[in-house]
Amino acid sequence: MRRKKFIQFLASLTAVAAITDSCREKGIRKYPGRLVEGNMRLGHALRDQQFGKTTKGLPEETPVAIIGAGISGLSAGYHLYSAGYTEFVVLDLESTPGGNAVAGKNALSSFPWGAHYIPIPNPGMPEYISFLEKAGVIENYENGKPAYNELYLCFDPEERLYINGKWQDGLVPNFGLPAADQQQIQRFMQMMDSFRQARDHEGKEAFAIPLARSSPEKQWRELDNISILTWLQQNNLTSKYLADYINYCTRDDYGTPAKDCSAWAAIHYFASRKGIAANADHSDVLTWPEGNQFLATKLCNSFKEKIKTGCLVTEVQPMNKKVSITYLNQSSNQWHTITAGHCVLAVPQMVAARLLKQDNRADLKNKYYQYSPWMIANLRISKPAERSGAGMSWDNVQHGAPSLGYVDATHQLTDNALTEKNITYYHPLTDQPPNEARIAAYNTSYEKWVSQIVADLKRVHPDIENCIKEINVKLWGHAMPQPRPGFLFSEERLQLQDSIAGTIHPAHSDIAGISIFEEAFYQGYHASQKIIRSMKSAKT
Amino acid sequence: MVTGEKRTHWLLLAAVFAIATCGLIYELVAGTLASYLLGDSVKQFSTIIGVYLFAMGIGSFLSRYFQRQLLSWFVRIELMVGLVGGFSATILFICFPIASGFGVILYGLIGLTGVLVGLEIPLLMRILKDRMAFDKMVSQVFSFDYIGALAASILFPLLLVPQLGLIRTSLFFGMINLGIGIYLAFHLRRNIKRAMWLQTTGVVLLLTELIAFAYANQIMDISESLSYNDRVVYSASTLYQRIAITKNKKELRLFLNGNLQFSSIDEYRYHEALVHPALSAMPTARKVLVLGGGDGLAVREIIKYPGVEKIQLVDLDPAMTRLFSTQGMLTAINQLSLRNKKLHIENADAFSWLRSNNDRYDAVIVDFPDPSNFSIGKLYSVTFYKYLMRALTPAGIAVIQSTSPFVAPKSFWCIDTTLKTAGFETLPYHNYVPSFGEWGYVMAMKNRAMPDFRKFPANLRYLDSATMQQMMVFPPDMKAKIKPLPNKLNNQHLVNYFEEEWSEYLDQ
Repeated sequence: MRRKKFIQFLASLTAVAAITDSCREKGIRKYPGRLVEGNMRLGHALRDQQFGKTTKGLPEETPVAIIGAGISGLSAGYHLYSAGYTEFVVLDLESTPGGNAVAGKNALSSFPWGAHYIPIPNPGMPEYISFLEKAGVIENYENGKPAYNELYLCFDPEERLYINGKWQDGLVPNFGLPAADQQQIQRFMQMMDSFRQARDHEGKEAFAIPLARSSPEKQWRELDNISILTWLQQNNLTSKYLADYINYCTRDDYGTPAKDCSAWAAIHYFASRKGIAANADHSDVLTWPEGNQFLATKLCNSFKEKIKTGCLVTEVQPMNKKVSITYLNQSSNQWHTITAGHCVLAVPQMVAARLLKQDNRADLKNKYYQYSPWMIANLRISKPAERSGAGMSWDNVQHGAPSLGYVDATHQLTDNALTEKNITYYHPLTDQPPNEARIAAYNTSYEKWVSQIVADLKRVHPDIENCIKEINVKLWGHAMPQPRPGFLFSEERLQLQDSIAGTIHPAHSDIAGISIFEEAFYQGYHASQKIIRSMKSAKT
Repeated sequence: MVTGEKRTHWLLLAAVFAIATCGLIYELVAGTLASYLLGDSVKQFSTIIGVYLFAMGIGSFLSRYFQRQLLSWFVRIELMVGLVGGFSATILFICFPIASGFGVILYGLIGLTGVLVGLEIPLLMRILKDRMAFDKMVSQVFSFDYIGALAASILFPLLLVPQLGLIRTSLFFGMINLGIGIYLAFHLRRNIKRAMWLQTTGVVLLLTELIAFAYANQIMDISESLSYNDRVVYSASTLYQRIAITKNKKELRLFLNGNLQFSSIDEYRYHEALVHPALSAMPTARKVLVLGGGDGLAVREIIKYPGVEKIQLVDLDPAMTRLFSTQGMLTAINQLSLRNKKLHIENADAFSWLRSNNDRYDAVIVDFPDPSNFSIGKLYSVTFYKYLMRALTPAGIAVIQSTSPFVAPKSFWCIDTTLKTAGFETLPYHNYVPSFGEWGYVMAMKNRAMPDFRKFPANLRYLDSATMQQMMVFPPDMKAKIKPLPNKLNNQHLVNYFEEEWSEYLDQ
């Protein structure tokens, strides 16, 4: 009897083991974590005009209201405040300022949920450089060149690429490439170098940051009418490795596959970075565990208390030389109206069109703008098994993969005592057209995302399933506008940046066309200068 | 009945043969094992044979005290020989790496086996004495005894050791002993009291040895010590590293992740050169910081300066400082320095600790592992040295262990350049540490004044002022062929230099 029981016990043990094994195979393994939601639902409430029970609050008045606490909004606030115009409010839908630069945090470290680095700044941007000095990013000058804080310069080893079964140093494909492909890649890089140095007759750079400072000459501008793939064909650059690499680059910077990306925009990625530093190269980057939230925090440090979060703006209208702004304060569920002297509209164009209730604006937006959705995950992991070649770097990319790989958020920590890492996994959803990809993304479960991520990472870290301690996933429905051919320099589209009634000043990186920190910074800066000029002339 | 008697008689003689073979095998196993593990085979074999024969003599002497139930006793002794002799090699292999009194175990085991084997023949002769004539019995017993010995001495080197190995050989013969005991217990059960009990015990022991025989390879793995020149006396994996300590007659060695950190025979050369040039140049030093150095050996040297009031030690691994505070063999080497009242131990990452540190120290001793990867490379960067500078008093001196200027001149001079880039005045020097080879150090100071190296503590074994002068001279083969670039967090040249130079050197 006892023996029989024992045998039954053994049999049940085996069955349990078999079941757990099969779970593992199907990737059903559970990890702590969730789908991290922003205030997307509230944002869609604006689109659908559906709110719960609300009351009306007191009217408010302010000289300046800034809508949006992303980088452009915070930059506008920073420059107003620095110039002594300290009376303003900033309204934002989310619970923390930063926009695309928000970050999360766990016991191990902070980690980015979006934008996470800036390149070494180009010369010729005094306002930007001055901000970086105040933020402690530039420590001093050696022979006139800025010396960057070396805790912020990306530590060595910076990048590695998994290609042909091995991790190589750097992201430009090299390991195991046929000689013909290597030559093409080399030729491509040389062409990018000459684009980087190119200037027009008036001495304007062919590819500049901010983008608006680029030369208007036709020989470069017409590159915006074709896709980068067409340009490659025109130049007899037929290497599949090169095309895959460029596809990685355009998806990385613009969330746009190479086939849809303007040649001008793609070349700008390679040819615009001309930073000079005492202790870094133009291709180096500055980064922090929390990504660009570090910079967002530095921008708003002096006026934190002026930022009202959880506020859904529903209407922005010019009114008697002033601006009337209606918003719902989510915490009190009260409607407020602000009467402001000026308004900085630091929101994406799809939101701006809705707030201003202008049909022609909505038409322009629909005609030109496609926003790419992104999925970003943060994973806390123990040290995973490695394939051969270069060791764990800051940026770790798999050649030809649908994801962009992952960035080690703990890379910039000097602490050798850490036995775990936070890694940030980036995936622009470009397999389908943006609208379809967005709907598909919203209908994808957390478990599905996790199994996708695990399957992708498993190729380079075979034991990753056993290393993951926690995994959180965030979706960005409208992460950035896609610079498709004909988008960047359309005169018609650029009307969107004009001030309305002299009091409403649109400012967002999507007006500039590409979603980089410098563009957002200057959008905010220019809006602040318009307001300061207007206020000065009003006084005199 | 007569045929039955006759069969018993031959059976007992077969037992003599087997017993003799087994007895010599145990002796040979012990001798071979002792020469494997302890070296000096002539000495080991001589003493083991001597002790074994002597113990057999004791056994023979003791046999007179067995008066009743001789057969029963004989079976019991067979079982005991089978147990002790059978497991002798297993016990010795497992005990060797973990027990400090290995000699006691070895000779104790030999002695016990000898006594038991010594009992066998006299008892057997007395059992046989009623069954055959005395002259015939003596001649037969001893003939079988010596033939058995011959069989053992031929089988052992030619067949057993090469085919079975030591553990299985001794288990195999243990099972023969047990087999004899069990067989007799069954066959003569009517003449034996409590035969049932003996039968059961015998079978259980036989099964145990059979299992051990099957798992002999795993037993061998447990005792990995044969693959080392020296024996491993301690090994442990901590959160951060693998610590191993080996020992032979002359010296004790510490390995971290397989890299030698010190040998007790010449570590004083390294630690005196690391600590005394800086501290002797600062007779007024009161506060000293040690980064790394969880073995307490640098601290042992610092304690020689009575003027030092506070020593702060920062080492990543609590397992390391705990081990060197408590383990007898190790505290004998660091002279209990880690328990000194002036010492404060903090287990933290040195970089993070320095970044948050606001204290100023007169001297800082930096004793990190070599910069063999990017994580450790950070601790040799310009940024790290800037924080190091902040931790020094205006007249303070830091010294950095800087790998071998002979094997890795580019790496060595890269550390020098990195310190200069961080704003230090430097003074590189080197000495010879036999277990490491030629070793380098860089002294880093905030001001330009050349330190005075005339006075060293009196009780040093290596360093004096003449030696110091010599240490500062670099022959041409230790100078860098190219000017190395400074090691920065965003461009860790040092890790690349180090990798390149050491792998080239080790390839040779």
